[in-house]
Amino acid sequence: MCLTIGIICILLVSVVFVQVKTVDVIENSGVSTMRESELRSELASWKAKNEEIENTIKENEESIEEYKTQTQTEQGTLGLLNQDLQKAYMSLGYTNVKGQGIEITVSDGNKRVGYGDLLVLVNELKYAGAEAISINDERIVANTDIVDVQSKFILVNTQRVMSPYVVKAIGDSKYLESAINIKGGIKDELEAEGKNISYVLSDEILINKYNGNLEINYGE
Amino acid sequence: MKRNHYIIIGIICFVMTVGICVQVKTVDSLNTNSGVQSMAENKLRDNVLKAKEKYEASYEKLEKSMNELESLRKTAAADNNEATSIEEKISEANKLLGLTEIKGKGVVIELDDSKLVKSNEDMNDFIVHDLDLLEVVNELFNAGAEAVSINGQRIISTTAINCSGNIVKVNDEKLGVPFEIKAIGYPDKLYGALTRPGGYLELMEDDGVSVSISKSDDISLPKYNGVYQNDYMQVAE
Repeated sequence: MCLTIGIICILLVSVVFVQVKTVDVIENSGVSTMRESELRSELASWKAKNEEIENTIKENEESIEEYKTQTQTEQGTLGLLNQDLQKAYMSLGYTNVKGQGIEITVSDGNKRVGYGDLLVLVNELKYAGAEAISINDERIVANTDIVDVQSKFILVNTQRVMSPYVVKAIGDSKYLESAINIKGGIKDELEAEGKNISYVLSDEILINKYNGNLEINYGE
Repeated sequence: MKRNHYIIIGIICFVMTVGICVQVKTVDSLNTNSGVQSMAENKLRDNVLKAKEKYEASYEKLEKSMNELESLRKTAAADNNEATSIEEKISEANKLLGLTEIKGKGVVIELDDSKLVKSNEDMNDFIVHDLDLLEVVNELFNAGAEAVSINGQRIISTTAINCSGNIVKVNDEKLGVPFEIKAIGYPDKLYGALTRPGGYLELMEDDGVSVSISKSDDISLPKYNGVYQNDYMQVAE
């Protein structure tokens, strides 16, 4: 009798152990929910990239067609070349541009606005898809640097800029707004540090061209 | 006395059985959940891979169309001085836009998470963050860098450097340590500026990040592997 009960007890205990172990293993792989949302955003970003690249291929193919049919006359050739140059110059920041976007004003409050604040702000705007950005009319181009000089003033493209800093960006104004406005984002952060930030959205942001010249002298 | 024993054993058996039932139920529900999740996940993973492959295929097509356009431009401009000069400006602009590979002189910086983390210290100080890369790139441009890349991603005017979780993203591409930052420019000037006392590299090194920098006469940077998006802006007079 006692033996039977003993065996039953041992069996039950071992079943319980096995079960507890199984639960443990399963919960360890339970990060799956996080992985899934990560995968979703990854997929969305690749889909957007695919759309962009397909649009560009289509544009290029149209352009190829134009070169094949419209370069019989000198006028046609020059027209096409100038059009392509204009497009490249727009991307480089060599032309004034306009479009929908956001105008942000950042200024010294209890604490001074530093170069790092502007660097991060510009980076956030780029991440939100800004196509053109300027700070106090200094255009942000490929090799723009933003630095502090003796914690007194800020240089953008080696040009001196002073508070209040008017940062303009062209792009999807809703995206740009949420990049600034997001809870715990740069607006909250700057305000918590005692600096001032405000913004307006507009359908007609005008951004001036870059005044300098981009050069590559050390590479081919 | 004997009767008491039986009652106790009975209670123990009952409790254990209930425990087992609860456990079985839990395992069951976890199993079905994670089963569904991993299936959805696998499908997602599959779709991500497919989208990536599609992008690579499209990118080859894009390169082909860009090359064809370039040769068409050259042919069209061939026997006309004005056209030739515009064509040359377009080629130069494409180079500045990062749409071509570039070889030249400059510096190479390597950044890696510290291997010396002690368990009682804050991990955060020892790893390379998105903000660190942003600062180093900014210092390079300040020192006159003409072109910069991080782990094969060319830095262009619209490049964002940010992070999702612990992974750094540049041009929306995930990059991991070690980070290799290449910069084209006058090597002595870049090296001198980046290694100056109080510079950002020194700050990182003091924090425990592994930092190395060297000059080189033979650096090659990849081209930007995306496209310029100009959907919202147009030329203004």
